[in-house]
Amino acid sequence: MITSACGPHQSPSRHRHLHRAAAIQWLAVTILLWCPPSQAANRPESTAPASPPLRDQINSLLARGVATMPPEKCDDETFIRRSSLDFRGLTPSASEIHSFLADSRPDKRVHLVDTFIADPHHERHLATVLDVMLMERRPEKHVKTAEWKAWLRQKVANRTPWDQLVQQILSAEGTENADAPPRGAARWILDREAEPNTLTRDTARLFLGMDLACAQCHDHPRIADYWQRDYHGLLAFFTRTFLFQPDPAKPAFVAERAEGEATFTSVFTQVAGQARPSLPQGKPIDEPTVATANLWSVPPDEKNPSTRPVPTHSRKKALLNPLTSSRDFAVNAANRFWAALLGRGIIDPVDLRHSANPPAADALLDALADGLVTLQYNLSAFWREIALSQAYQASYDLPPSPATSAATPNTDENPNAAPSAAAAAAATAAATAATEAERTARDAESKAREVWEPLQLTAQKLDAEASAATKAVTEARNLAEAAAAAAAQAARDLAAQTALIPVLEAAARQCAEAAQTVLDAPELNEASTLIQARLATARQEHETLAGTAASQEAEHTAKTTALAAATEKAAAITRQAAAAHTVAQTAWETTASAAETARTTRDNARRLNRDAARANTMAAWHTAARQEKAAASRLQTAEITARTLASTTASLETATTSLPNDKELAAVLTRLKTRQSAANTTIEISRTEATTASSAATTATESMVSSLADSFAIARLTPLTPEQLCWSILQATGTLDQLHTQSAREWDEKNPAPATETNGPDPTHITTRTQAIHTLTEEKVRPHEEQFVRLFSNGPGSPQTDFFATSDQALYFENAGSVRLWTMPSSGNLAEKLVSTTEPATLTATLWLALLNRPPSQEEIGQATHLITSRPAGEKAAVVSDLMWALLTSAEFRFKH
Amino acid sequence: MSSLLHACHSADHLIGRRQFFGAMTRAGAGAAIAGLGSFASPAMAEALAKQQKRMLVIRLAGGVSQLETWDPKPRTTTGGPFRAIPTSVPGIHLSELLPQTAKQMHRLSLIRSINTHEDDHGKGHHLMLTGRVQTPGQAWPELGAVVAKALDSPDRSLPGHIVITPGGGGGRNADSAYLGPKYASLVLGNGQPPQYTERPASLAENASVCANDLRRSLDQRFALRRRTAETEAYTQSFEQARELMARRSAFDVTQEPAADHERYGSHDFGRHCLLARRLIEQGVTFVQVTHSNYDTHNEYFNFHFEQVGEFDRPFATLIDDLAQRGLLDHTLVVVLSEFGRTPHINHLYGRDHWSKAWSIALAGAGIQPGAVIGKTNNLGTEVIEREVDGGHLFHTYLAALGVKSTSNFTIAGQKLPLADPAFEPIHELLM
Repeated sequence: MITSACGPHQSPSRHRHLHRAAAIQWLAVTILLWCPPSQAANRPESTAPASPPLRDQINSLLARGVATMPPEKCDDETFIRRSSLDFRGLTPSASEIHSFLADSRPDKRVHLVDTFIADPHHERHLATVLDVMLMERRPEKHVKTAEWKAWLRQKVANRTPWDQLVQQILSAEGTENADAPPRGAARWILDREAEPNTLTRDTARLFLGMDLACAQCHDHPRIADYWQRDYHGLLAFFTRTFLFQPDPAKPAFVAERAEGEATFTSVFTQVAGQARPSLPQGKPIDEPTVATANLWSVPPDEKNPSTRPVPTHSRKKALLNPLTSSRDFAVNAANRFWAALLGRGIIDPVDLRHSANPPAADALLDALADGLVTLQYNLSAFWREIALSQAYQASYDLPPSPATSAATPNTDENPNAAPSAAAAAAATAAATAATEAERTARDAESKAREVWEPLQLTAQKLDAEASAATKAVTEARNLAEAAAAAAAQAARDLAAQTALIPVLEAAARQCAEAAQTVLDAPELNEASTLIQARLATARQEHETLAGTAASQEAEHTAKTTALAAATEKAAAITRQAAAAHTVAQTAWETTASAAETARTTRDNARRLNRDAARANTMAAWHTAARQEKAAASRLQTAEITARTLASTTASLETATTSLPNDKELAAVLTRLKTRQSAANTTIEISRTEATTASSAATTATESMVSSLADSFAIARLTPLTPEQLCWSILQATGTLDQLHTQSAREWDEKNPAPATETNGPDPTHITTRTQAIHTLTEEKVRPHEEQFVRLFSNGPGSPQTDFFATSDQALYFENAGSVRLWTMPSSGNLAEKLVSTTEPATLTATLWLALLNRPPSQEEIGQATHLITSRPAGEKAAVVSDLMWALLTSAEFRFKH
Repeated sequence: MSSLLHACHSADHLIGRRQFFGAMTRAGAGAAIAGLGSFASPAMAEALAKQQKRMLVIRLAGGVSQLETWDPKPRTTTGGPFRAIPTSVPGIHLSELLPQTAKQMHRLSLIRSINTHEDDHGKGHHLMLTGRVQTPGQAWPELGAVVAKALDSPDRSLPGHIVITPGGGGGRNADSAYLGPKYASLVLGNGQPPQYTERPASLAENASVCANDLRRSLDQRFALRRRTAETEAYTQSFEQARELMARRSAFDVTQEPAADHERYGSHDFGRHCLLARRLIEQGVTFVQVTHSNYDTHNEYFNFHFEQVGEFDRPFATLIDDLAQRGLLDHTLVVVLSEFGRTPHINHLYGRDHWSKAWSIALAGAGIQPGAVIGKTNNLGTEVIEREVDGGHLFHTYLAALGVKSTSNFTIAGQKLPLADPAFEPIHELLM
């Protein structure tokens, strides 16, 4: 898919210009919606033309059954609320809903999503999503949060692809050089204190979808494929990175050392290792060899500690291309950004991607990852495809009532009209068989393992023996060499002594001759005696040395023989070990293949069991509904019978009073009364049955709801983020309109419109004005947004998707001034409009549309009307405030559905 | 009847709520939302409530000296100017700065052999309150969050994890890590009741009742076809909030008798201890009180004389009260710090940070009273018997509360050990 490290990103077609016609149409819509976008010219073409659009791929996968229950399409009110929240971070306004409902174009949902993507709120919202995903609401430390957010916003406005964004945050160092990115970009690293373990953990989680934290100190105890060496392979990229802040009063920067490796020791096994830089389960990357003299391009300067050292080769930068071009990176991004819209990943939790937590649908995740790469990591375009797919547009609601479909018999053309118990039974049988196959495969695996383990042990034992034998060879060789040296020395000593003897013999002979020749020279006789003595000593020494040489030579021969024996023994054991390894290897291959089979059968069993569970739930739901209907009908029949009998009895009794002695009449009456009593019993029984059937139907419905809620391909009920909640409340109550009007007034006072020659408004002025007003409005919202974040966000540094509801949040709604204030009438807000609405039904309709984005039901109109009319007219504002408060705090408002 | 009270014809709000829950339960919502005072009789409720396990931590912030409190070494070169005094347990001596506490010694236990290897305030605090060494890139929940979650029950209407701080402020702390904000501490700044529990004067209770009735009926309609654990939790949070408002007085220490205020002392710490008693009595699972300013590197003995002096009476009174009221058997009380102080007295006549050989005190639930674990040498410079680390202490607290300290929480499919698996409880200290 990806051919080179950053190949796809160099495509010139990345920023195509918006078609003129579309631009005009979109401009018209956005002016209606109050804000033209700032980056119209940069909006990319929606999809690449080569392969079918991603949404079609998703749809055909759904049709092929990756999700077992193709659900109903949601209604327009649901779609506009859902997509407005997902693309703009706030609920739609009443007028937007009206226009959308009135739109009769068949592709109006496409138009709606495009309008939302062009809306300035989209930039704001996407930047917020990225901020929360990347920083997880960590507190501000070395980089101002505002600078980081501004930088992100700029990147979103420029449609910077996700892979490039990640490269930029990982390479930012916080320096103020002209060619460096703004300091804000460095917040990801600096506010993690540039701490190598924190960077490793968050890189693995956020960019690769693997929470390797437990593998820092040992192989993950429960996840088979999270290994300590993987953690440290990734750590190796960061291990030289550090926070550079020589002066605590001045800003900190990211810096890197030129040397340093990631070494580790398992706290469980005490096995130590040193990891080369590599992606998890990947090969170590090639690194340039840098001569010690060239390690630094800016060397550390002891005299000037404020000099930030820069190595020639940056380990951290070596991560960038391998990371963003890896398949894991694409899969993680696809999964995370799918989860951002659907409320749950195809791998869920998104941080725990490993073999025991496989994707719910491999093919779908693959298609999404491929699609994201084809879309060149353009997040808006990727979201657009998801939003236009059936998965996103599925209704989070029950399929058509089984009471209806129960009446439709299964036919060949329509086998799914009512999933039969037989189908469910077949699915169950398939699942049972698959589970059995899984068990068999697991048994085979453990048997193979049982064979392999002793073989492996034997091989290891032989290894140890071979190693001992090899050591013995070395020792024998050392001894033999020492003996050889000693023998050679002894031979040399003997040779020297042997050479001495003829010299002494000659000297003795000559001296004796001299003594006989030269008479009367006693010193010569003495000398001759001395030489003779010396010669005798030399002969003696020679004899000793000859003995030594002989024994040393014998020793040498013995050691040489021993060496040969040891060498032979070692070779034999090594051969044995190699043979044992071959046997063990074969057994291992059998084990590995059995393990692979076990894995496959396990996945298959899991899928079939899931399908069977769904089929059974669905069948049970239908059966229960049928039984409920049948029981109700039996009860009805019984009641009719009883009523008929009662009325007949009554007329007969009347007749009996006129004809008291008619025996036949009396007999009929008695029989009738017996029947009546039987009919009453039948009613009792039927009533009990109907109640039981009804409660069984309720339970079955609830199972269906939870089965739906667990389906990964259906948008989950997701809580609004703190920011979505805040902006939606402001939008719904009309407070946002007020803030906008106020911003417009403020801006216009300072910036009067310039007169133009053509008398028309100056387009530049309009664009500038719109942007400025939007920015001003955002500034006014910010303090409220911060308050909502304080109350509704998860703890810093932890995943922000986990839902929680605490009483302090509810207390804020109950008693803090702001929310109550927004429900009080003031100039131009919703409460003011409602107070002046006289007709309760109209009031209710306006209120429900603005807050819940749907029309009220008849029951709700009745309830609201009762509330309005039961209180004195003077309390109208209070009633309106109560109604608004109740709707704002309802679960329906709090969640995206 | 109640229609006279509320223009919207709501029933009394409490009844309304119960009916609401009743409806939810009938619809098969599950048992998790039962409770909220649904005991059969008040007497039974009281009996059950008393047996509920609780924990009270008194944190002496800054590092309290073991030599001037739990492990005195009088008449030695390191012992300092204070004497040791006998206590209610023969053979155990405390510093003379703790005369009232000494009288409670038969209810207390001491661990005199702590070596935590962390001389930094932040890291020491982390180790003592999470039972684990601080590791970069890892966030662990604090003791209060772990205890509040481990002992959580659906009957609780008050928050399970409360921290009384000496200063102001309020809201919710970020101290529960992966256990989630539900178990994060609710802060009572200087002992004030929680934020937003007071209804603004401008708002009629009547209005609120009607609005809540409408909210409930909307939620019921929504739940008919789209019920999840999350919508339930959200809907419930409003009921909890109303319960909390109704029980706001639980946090109001001024409602305690004047005589008790007198006994605990008029200073902040005394008042906070009295509030802690009140909260423990009302069934709050975990309460932490902080007494600060122990980090005295110079003029140390004057400061410790004042601080420990201020600590002594309210603490002893609290232990006595809890015992008298039958609560001590079910409430674990721990007095801890981030570390102790050096036996060596520095040139400023002070003691510095010291984690090598120091002490804590415990009492109540599951702890052997009157026990002393471990020993330091004559000068207090080294542990010579039964050395323990922060991990052992964390296990011990949980075990004393009847929680299996080697068990796991399952969070998002991951099994996470309650306490550091490298340690275990101090078994001989447990009953």
